[in-house]
Amino acid sequence: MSYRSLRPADIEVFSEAISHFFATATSDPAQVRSAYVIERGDPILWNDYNGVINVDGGFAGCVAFSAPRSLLSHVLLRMGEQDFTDEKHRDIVGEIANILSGRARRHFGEGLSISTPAAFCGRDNAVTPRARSTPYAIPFRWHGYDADLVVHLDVLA
Amino acid sequence: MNSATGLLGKYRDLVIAIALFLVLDLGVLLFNFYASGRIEADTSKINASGELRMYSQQLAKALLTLAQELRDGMPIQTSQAQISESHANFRKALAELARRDGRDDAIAQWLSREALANEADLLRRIETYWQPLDGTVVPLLGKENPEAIDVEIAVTKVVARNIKLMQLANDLTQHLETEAVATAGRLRSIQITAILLALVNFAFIVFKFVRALRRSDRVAEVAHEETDEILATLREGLFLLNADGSIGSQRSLSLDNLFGRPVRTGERLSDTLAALVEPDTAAVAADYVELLFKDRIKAGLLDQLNPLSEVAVRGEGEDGRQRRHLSFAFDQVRKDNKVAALLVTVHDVSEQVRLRSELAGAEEQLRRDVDLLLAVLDRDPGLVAAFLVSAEEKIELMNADLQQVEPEASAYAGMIDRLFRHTHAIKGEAATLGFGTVAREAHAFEDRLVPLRRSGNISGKELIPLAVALSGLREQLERLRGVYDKASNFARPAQGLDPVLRQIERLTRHVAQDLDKQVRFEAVAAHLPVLPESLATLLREAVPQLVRNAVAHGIESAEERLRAGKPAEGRVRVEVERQAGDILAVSVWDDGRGICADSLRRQLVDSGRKSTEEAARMSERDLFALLFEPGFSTAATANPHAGRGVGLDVLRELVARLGARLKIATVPNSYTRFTLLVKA
Repeated sequence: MSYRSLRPADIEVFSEAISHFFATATSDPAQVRSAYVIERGDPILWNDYNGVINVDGGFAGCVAFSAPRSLLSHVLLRMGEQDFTDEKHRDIVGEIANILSGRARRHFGEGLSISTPAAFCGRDNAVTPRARSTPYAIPFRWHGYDADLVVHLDVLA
Repeated sequence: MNSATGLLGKYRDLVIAIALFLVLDLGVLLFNFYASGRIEADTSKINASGELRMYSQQLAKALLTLAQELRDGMPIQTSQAQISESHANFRKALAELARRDGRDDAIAQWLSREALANEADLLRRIETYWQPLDGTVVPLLGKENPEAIDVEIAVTKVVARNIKLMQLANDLTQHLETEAVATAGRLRSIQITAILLALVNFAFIVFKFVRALRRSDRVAEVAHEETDEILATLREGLFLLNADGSIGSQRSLSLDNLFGRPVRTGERLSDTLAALVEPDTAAVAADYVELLFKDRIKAGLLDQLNPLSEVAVRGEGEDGRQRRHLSFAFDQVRKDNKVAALLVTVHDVSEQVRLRSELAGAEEQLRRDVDLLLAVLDRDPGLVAAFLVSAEEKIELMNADLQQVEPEASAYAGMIDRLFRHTHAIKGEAATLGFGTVAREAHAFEDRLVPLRRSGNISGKELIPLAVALSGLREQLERLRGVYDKASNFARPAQGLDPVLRQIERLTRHVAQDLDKQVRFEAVAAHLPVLPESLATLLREAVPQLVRNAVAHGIESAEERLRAGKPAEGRVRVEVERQAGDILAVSVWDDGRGICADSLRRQLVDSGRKSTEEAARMSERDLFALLFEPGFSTAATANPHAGRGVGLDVLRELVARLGARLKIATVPNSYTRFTLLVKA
């Protein structure tokens, strides 16, 4: 199996999914910041709540959305929620992970085997890197809060 | 002939049975004809036999009347007429009975041999009794006045024989009637038997035919099921292409998967291909298929021309998905030596193409690694190490810039300029050292930067390709680092200026070759056993930029130089000298076109950066200062060696970093000298 490098379009499809979520769920679009390369050895996930999809089937790696609790609380508020439990916060990142999963399948085709989106809180949940290629971070800013989309994928050449 | 025999052989029993049925039917028909003739003949005989009795009686009566009339002297004409008529009718009836038509053939003999014998016996006895009477009556016929004695003799004979004749005629009639009934019964039996045989035969035909039909149906059904199973399980796409270009009804199910959609019977292959492959390929394929339908063309001869032998399929594989490849093979199906159809086989060769591509990629990578290894081994390890440290540092700075930049257009613009400088510096150093893969990747990164620098309003989304390009550049450096780390065990570090100057000379030759210019490199260097860090940095980062500029911008083409009265070969000279006050001077000189202030003014006006008046008011110093601004280039188009407007920007940043000084001396159409002064 040989893998090709990720192309900008491979990353844009996920950043657009995040933008779309904020635009539709809160009516306020999130600002995409400059993408950068995550240095080897740096943790992939590093914020309060993380939504992750693991992919397989000729592909390897993960796509994750990582956000601070304050951002998600604000999102819940904008969505009219009264309940601000951990579970509700996890639901938001889980929903975003679900959206990422749908976009991934549409973009990469049926050959992509995607795990059930996982949502968990805590910075200590280490995710073992499953891809060998460069991981990318695409930061988002929404109402002054910063969140990150992480794309770490080996795509079949 | 063989097929005809085979066909008769296959249906032999059936053909024989049908022939037998026809023979039986024809036999019954003929026998009916025969039977009806026989019954008609029997009826005629029975009638004739009955008439014998009647005419015998009439003859007797007429003779007795004649005798009486002769005795009484009465007229005898009536009696004579009756005698004549009875006699004639008797003989006629007798002749009728004697006739054997339809009753004496082989069939009649077979049917009623004994009865016929009895009949003949009775008839013979009647004739025996009749002959004397006939001999007596015949002389009386036709005489106007017969002798009474003759009449009396005839009367005597008729009286004596009439009873017997009547008795015999009666017996004959009964015999004939009995025999006719018996014969009719036998004929009926034969007819019934024949009809029954015909029916049995018909039943046999029906049984045989239905059985053959069922067996044939079963064979066809089994064959059909087998064909269906084969077509359902075949991994390859298989179909017949008709002469009108339509796809036949028998095709493998896998074809739908291969084409990515259901295929319809009668669908034109040209339409299918139009949706699958590029329009050019589809057009060439249509011509190729048309060629294959020509009777004189052999498919095998055209294999090499097949435009679909390995074709990328449109629809899937875009947007990052793996692209599929199909292979179409065509075989001519001939009937009477004419091409009736094409058998088309379709294979999914994506895996083969992928493996081949992987193999080619692996070979290319190996080749690059070997080239890289050779390049590393050929260079001074100290220079390579310094380049790697410097480049890795720049990559880190660039990534940090991407990570930390504020999401504002002005911040983005500043970052783009910084990225440009770092990349250009990496490209220059890499090219100087001959690390083409790194230089190419850096150039590709610059390609990403160019449109962003021109754009006034940059969004974060537009910067995603930069992170990807940076990753590509970093990967090349990592690869170089890996090769260097392995090779450094064998390499021997060199000392002094020589290795650096050799690298610069190599770069000069490389750029001149790329730009098709004739350039001679010259170096004049002071003896420096150990290079001060500041000088080493200038030689590594600044001088390559200046040499590249000298060749790209300064040195003219050979034709232009000859027209200007210069030698075709240009000169580029690098000088390193010690100056007073522990100052080191590095200069790059070329005998090219120099820097023309008026040309710069014209360029400023043409690019819209200054008005004609503003440009005219600018001093030469101000004009030359423009050369160091980001994005300003005197080259009309960009190439790997010039045109980005970054080289002197990098130089300016370097000069500021090292606390060095820069002097420019130039005379149009004569020379340009850049001199860098730095403390040792």
